[in-house]
Amino acid sequence: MKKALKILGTLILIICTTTAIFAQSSDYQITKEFENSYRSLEASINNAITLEAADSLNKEVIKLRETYAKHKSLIDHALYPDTFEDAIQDLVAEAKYTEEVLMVMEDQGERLSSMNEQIANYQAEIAFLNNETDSLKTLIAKSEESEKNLSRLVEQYRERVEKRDEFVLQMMDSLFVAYRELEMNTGNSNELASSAIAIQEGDNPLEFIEATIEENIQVLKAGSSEMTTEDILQMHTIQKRFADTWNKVGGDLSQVYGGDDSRQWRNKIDSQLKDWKASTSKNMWDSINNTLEQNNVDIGAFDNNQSFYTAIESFINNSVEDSEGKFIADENREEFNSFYNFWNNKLKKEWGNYIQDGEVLTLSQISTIDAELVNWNDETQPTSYVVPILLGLSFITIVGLIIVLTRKD
Amino acid sequence: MRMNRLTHVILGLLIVAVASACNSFVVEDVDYSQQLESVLVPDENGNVTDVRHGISFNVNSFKEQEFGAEDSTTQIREIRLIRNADGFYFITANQFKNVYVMEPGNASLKLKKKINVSESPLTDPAFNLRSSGVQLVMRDTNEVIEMNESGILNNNEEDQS
Repeated sequence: MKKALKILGTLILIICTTTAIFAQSSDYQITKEFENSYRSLEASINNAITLEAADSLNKEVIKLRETYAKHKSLIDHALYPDTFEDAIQDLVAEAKYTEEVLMVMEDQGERLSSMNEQIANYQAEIAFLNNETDSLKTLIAKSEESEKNLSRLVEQYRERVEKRDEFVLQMMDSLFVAYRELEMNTGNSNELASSAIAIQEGDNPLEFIEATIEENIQVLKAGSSEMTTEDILQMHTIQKRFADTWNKVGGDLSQVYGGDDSRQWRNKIDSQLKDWKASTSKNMWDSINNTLEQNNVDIGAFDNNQSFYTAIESFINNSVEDSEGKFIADENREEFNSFYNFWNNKLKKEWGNYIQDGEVLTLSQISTIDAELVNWNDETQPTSYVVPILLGLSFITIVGLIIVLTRKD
Repeated sequence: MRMNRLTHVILGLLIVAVASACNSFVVEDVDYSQQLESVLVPDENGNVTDVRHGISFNVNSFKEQEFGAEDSTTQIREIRLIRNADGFYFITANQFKNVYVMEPGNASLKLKKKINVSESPLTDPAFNLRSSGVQLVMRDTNEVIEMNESGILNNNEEDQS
């Protein structure tokens, strides 16, 4: 706006001075006014910031030339050694240069504007991504927290499982013994019930049993991926002991501590034990299968004790059959080594107690597999080539001697 | 003897004539004209210099001529001069009533003519050079007076000191 006013002022000055020239007719003043108009126009050209202004100033240069052309000789004299034409050409060149610069600037301005727009888009994108990152960080933090909680849960379970579950089992046993003693001493169900009330000083043991089973089920649901095969085998063993003990005393405990709801308590805990067993079994077989895969052993599908044993037996028998008659049996040997490693180092050494206690395999089954493994080992032993070679050499020597002796004769 | 004396005289005259002819070498049709007037600003001592036209002088003499020696209050802010084809300088300034026609001499400017151009002091004078002579333009009144070194052309209001 200021520039436009400046240009307008220049034009007015030129018009006024031109008018004044004709009134007074001083040669000196004409040249001075030309110089003033020239300088003013030159300044406007140098300060022009828009293409429209530059174009307008171009026209003003032409107008200046036309106005003062009739005073050319005077101005030549005033500008000596320059001339009027030189001065006008300089001004035209300046105007042209300014116009070119402004064209470039306008073009660059458009590009700059486009780039600014792009930058704004990028900034918005970055802001969006930052938000996403923050959200993801929050999620990761939550996930990490959740993972930590899970690990803590499993850790706590590991720490408590033996003591707590052992305690519950002991409690069930002791309750059972106490109950038997009471039964023997009283022989009357009413008295039994009143005695039971005397025993029940703290919480209802049925509630305690229920909570323990439920907690085990929840641990399996939430943290089975964090648990090792050994952990799950341990839980399987405990679950089995729980089930055995409950089968022995569950009915009586329900009757004594369940009161009017004894049947419901019995059914409820029976159902819970079934769920626990199913959950433990599934996790246990999956975990064993994973361990086999990690050892590169594929014995086929199994999902219970019998199918596990059968799968092992079939696997060994098939492998033995495969090895029979083979002169070189490197692949079979490798397979044997993998299974041997799993069987002895994992199953028998690390999991041995839980395998037996939890009756995953019986002692008899383990012994059978051991025997079959010995057979398999024999079948896959590397064959010695010494004897055949010696025999071959002996045969060649004998033939050679016979030929030599025949020729001598 | 008389012939000899006459011969000597004639020879002497011839020598003088030849010597004189050698000393009076003159270039004719010189144009001294200055197309544009010079507007010069005196320094604190009253000196002005026109670098382009190669002249420098003191304006105090003009001040005394115009306002009298006793006037110490009037100052010449700028002085205007122009030179015609014959080489005479025409000099005036604001508040002057006259145009001074000065003839350049040996390190001097000699008054050729003092032309009275106005009864009242000039307020905005300017010189133009035209083929007919020097124009004095009085821009305040838009009046133009044409003159040469002898005085105003077509005008008898001139005063020679």
